Amino acid sequence: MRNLIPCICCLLVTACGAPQGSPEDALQEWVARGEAAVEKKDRQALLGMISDAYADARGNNRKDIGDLLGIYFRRLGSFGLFTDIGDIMITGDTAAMIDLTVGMAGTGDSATGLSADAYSFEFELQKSGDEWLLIGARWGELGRILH
Amino acid sequence: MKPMNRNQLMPGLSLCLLLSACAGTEPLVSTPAVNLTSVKLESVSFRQQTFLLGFEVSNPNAFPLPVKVVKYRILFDDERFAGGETRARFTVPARGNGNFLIGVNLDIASSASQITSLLAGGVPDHVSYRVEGALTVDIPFARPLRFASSGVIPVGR
Repeated sequence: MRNLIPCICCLLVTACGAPQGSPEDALQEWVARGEAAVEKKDRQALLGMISDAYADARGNNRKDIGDLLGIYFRRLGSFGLFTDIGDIMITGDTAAMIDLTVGMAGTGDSATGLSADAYSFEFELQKSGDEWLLIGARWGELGRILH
Repeated sequence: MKPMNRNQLMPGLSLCLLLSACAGTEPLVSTPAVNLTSVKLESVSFRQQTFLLGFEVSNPNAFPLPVKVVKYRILFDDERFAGGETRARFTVPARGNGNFLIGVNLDIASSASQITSLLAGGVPDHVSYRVEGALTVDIPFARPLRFASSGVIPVGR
């Protein structure tokens, strides 16, 4: 039930927009897969979506992102995400950028120390074989500058 | 492609909020201790005095804390001495300590009432203090981490 709404949205968008099996489809599926893995606290699945060459402006590498995910997964009980894909930009056949807004359920709960703010993410992906892998990311509170 | 609109998001959000009722109670980030470690009178002129305040942050978490904003208020001898918000860029190591400095310029003419007690008879050797504020960390969804501490500290010159 929980995943029904995003699934329906994806199907609607697919029906109206990009052809079946397009890179855009694959990238939407990549986001849905990531969301599901976060909600299952499947850190290995998420790490499998991140390139060994991952680097960001904060100085994080793939291991650092794995550690950050570990913080959330260890500290929090069950939680949910809502995601809203703002834009998908594909360059050539092997590079893509995804603008994404992410909110976390359980926000505003003082016991968990979570803020109610949604965050904007800009994911940079590269296609390696048949797989899209995250090679960089910027983020910030919604409406603020990303870095 | 078309982004989801608000109506499409609401059912998902509602379900997420229901799920949150099952959330654990351990905070995402444990609150660090922040203590004032030094007060130094850096410079004195006819109109202005500059103090340099040193702070130590103790991180109880098993992961580093990247601090990006420090919001603070300092009382000396129960009178407001200084306060504000300053952008920062330092990381407190996991289960370790970090230090930062804040410079405070006091315009004697405009803030005389606030520092009268501190400076009456010259700068005292020791002063009782209370510091409170919040650290904003660069960890998505983490709330600012509130802190408060008090004590007596020597004033260096």
